[in-house]
Amino acid sequence: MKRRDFIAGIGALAGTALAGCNDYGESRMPKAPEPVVGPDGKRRIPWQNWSGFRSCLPADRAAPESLDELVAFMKNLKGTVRPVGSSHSFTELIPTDGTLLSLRNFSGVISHDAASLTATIGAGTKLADIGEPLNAVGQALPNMPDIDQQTLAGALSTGTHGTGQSMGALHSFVKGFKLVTPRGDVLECSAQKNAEIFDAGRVSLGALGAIVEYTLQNVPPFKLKKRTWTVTLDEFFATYDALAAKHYSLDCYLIPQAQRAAIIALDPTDEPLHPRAPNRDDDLVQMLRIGRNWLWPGARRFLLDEFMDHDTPPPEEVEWSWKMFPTPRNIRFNEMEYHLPREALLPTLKQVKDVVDTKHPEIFFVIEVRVVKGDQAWLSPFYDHATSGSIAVHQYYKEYPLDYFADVEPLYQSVGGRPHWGKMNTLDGATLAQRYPRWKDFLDVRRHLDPDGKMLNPYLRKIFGA
Amino acid sequence: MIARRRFALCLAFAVLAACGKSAPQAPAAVPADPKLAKLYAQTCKACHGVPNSGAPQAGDRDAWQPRVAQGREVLMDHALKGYKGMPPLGACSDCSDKDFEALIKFMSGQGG
Repeated sequence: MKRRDFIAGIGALAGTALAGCNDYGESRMPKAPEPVVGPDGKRRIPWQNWSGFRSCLPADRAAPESLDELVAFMKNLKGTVRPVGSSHSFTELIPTDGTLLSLRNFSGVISHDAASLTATIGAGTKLADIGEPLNAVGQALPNMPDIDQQTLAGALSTGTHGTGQSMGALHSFVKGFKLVTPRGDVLECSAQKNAEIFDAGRVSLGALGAIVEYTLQNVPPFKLKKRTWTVTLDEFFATYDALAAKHYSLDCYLIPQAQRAAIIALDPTDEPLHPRAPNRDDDLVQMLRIGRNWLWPGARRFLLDEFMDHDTPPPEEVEWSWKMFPTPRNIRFNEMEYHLPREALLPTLKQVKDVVDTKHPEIFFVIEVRVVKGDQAWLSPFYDHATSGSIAVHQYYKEYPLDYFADVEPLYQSVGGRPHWGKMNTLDGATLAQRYPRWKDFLDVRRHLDPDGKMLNPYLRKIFGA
Repeated sequence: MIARRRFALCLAFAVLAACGKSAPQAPAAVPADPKLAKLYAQTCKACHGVPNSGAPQAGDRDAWQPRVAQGREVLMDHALKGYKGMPPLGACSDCSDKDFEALIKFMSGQGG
């Protein structure tokens, strides 16, 4: 055996051994509490969020089956309550030692108006269950996020959004909602009725009461044509603004270590349906993870760039919008996402990519880049922006995310970034008050509706100063 | 000639016998209990009722058999804490132990 081969072999073995020794922080991940028997003799089952990072041991769970039941629940509640949707949030919005309140029985398309293209939908409806019944009555959501497993209330209450320079976040399509207050009052809220609560409540973190239904402004059903391609990073940064202006929906991914970006553009079309190819995103993520485990960064960069440059892009797809917007995400992760003034998006993105590539070679999950039109909901992360840009970073759900997120989060602060309410961040109440001009007004409405703090948990108390 | 005729008759009987047997009943895709059916539709069905989701499909005894073989404790642990792509509590944040047991029993084809 030649000496060179011997060293190469030892290097390969060392790489194998190193991959085996590095648990990427798995041992630091929080563990959910085990079920216990409470003082009332009932077994208390832990709650965990979708990724498993957040947990709590609620005293009770409730899933009222009617409006009257929910009103009675609120009136008779002793202690605190947190509404829970699909548990998709990564922040501490839900953890409580009080009662978890599920609105899964407030679901479905309740009514619709063909003339105005509006529909009233139960707050506990999953986004995935909205498209088909809306389509049946000649309507469609104008935009949807990439993941559709959230409940309508959960998505709206946290400022969840899709992407598209001409389209606002989901809550910008809300025309009205029905709120059951902590006192058990039932309020109809819209721009014409209880207008202040309407402005406060469209993005309200489940802190004002339980919203049981929303009336949404929809559009006629439409088809989308999807194109996917990759470009060099230089071309990405040079052409991003033109792409965002051109396409109805623009979703972009920067891959750690790679010097190329993936672009997914969706545009309305009248072309015949050409159903989506089997989703291979989960396979690609697994491939990225294997590459991270077995290759040093330079090799990863080379192979990723080669693969992305030569991989045959999927064929163009044409599908109804509600089938095209979302993508199954079966590999769980933790996420941080910040929303920035549009002009700050690309300079900040360059900084984020640099941090990932130089300081965090363990990261294999993509950086996602999106654009959203601004709106006027008081706690909207897009409040008073003409257009916002968003940058989302992710870490595999089994691997400790906070060191990575701690290195990225400071990059957003000098540009006044606002985090997605459901995604990890460390902003305190004082900083949030500076970032949201209507913060104090929101707190006033909250105190008026919930003077006893029934809807609060430790996290909300901390940021609200309650 | 006689042997060939006997063979053909045996083969014919075998074919007819096979035709006489009914195909195995497709397992029920919906719980018989209306309350459980509603709960299933609101929660587990999103993955366990969708082919190619990666989740063992409700009523597919073959897919569930190796999982059932791991025992009730393991299945309940997976339901509560999540397992691979399945999030903790399997999208049912308010389900009780009894609810999870009934859902698992139904989906694994053991009844419900």
